Amino acid sequence: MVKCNACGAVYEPIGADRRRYFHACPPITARHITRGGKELHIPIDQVMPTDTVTVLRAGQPQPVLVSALLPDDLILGDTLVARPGARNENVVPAPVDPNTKLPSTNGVPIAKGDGVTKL
Amino acid sequence: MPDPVLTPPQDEATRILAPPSQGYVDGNDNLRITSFNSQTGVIVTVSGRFYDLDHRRIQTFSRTHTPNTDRTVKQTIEKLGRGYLLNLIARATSGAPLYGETYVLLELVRGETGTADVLGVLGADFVTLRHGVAFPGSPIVSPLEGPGYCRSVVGSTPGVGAEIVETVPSGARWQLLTLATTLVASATVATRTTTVIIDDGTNNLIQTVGINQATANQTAINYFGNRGVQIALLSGQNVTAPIGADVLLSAGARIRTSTGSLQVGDQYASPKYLVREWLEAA
Repeated sequence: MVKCNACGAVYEPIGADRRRYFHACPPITARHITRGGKELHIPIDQVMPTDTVTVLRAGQPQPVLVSALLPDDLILGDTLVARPGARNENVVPAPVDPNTKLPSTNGVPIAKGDGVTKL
Repeated sequence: MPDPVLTPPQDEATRILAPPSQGYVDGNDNLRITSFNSQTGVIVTVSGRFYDLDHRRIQTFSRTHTPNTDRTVKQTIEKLGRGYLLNLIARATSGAPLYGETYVLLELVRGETGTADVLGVLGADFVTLRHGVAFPGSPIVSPLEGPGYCRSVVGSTPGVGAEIVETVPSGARWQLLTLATTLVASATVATRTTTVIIDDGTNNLIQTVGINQATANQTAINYFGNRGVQIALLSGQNVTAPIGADVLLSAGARIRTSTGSLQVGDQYASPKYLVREWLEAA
């Protein structure tokens, strides 16, 4: 079991079926908020109770303080942004052997990103 | 070296003309073994019989070939000598791959490097411990023929507050059959709605409707199915929903969630999904 240093995902590099698993980080969810009169798109872990978001309430979009959300509110305007240090273990073919000119080794990851920690 | 077609080789001892054979090789022709494989620990062994014209006797041979484990191509070239390739068989001798996991292509080539000229295909098919590719006799099978391999995958457990993203591995072609997701909502109020998006890595191709309504401290389980599955409430926040039939996905395509009102403390469990897989062998 390993943990991705970029996104915190936990996974087995080789599954129970003895096949390799290739992890790729998800993007970050960014929330459309109003803070100090400015409209911003910020990662959801940076949203503050004093920020204002737009929600669908009783079928109508309306601005609501984050601290005043109701259980039935559906927040609108979320987008996705690229994750810094994102890892993508899916491979591209490795360079061929310089002596034989034959493809002979496993591929190389698309992006190693911030790496993983063995658990 | 006489031309084997115009002047069939003659056994010096018996003076008997050997019959024309597609298995005749003159020392410049070699055996190229190409593999594509998704299983770990697989070793392919190629064995056969070869009539050695230089020693005028039948020799047996055996070569091992260790495929890559990430579906990328692996090639090795084996010298044959001068004579007749009587028969050969390639099969897995280690790793216990199932049909659909280890594809082997056997070719007659001229040259000993990656620039060798391909002169003939001797056989091509998936191999297991008990199913081999034989020359002569086996049909030449495309890696995209047949039922594929059904694979149950346990994906990554996303970090807290992160969406599920699963990608089709390089070299694979998937048909998504089922998908199960579990979202444990944090104590923050708001209604979460899980939808599933399938994209090609960039562009969205299909999105399911958001149907579960998990609020604070609730757990919502979604089962997305292929043929015949309808939107239905199982119990609590647990539902079934269709994802469409024959969802064929190439490498790099993604199966991911898009969650309305996702909160920083929300936690998805690792997604579980069933796919039918083929090897592209490209």
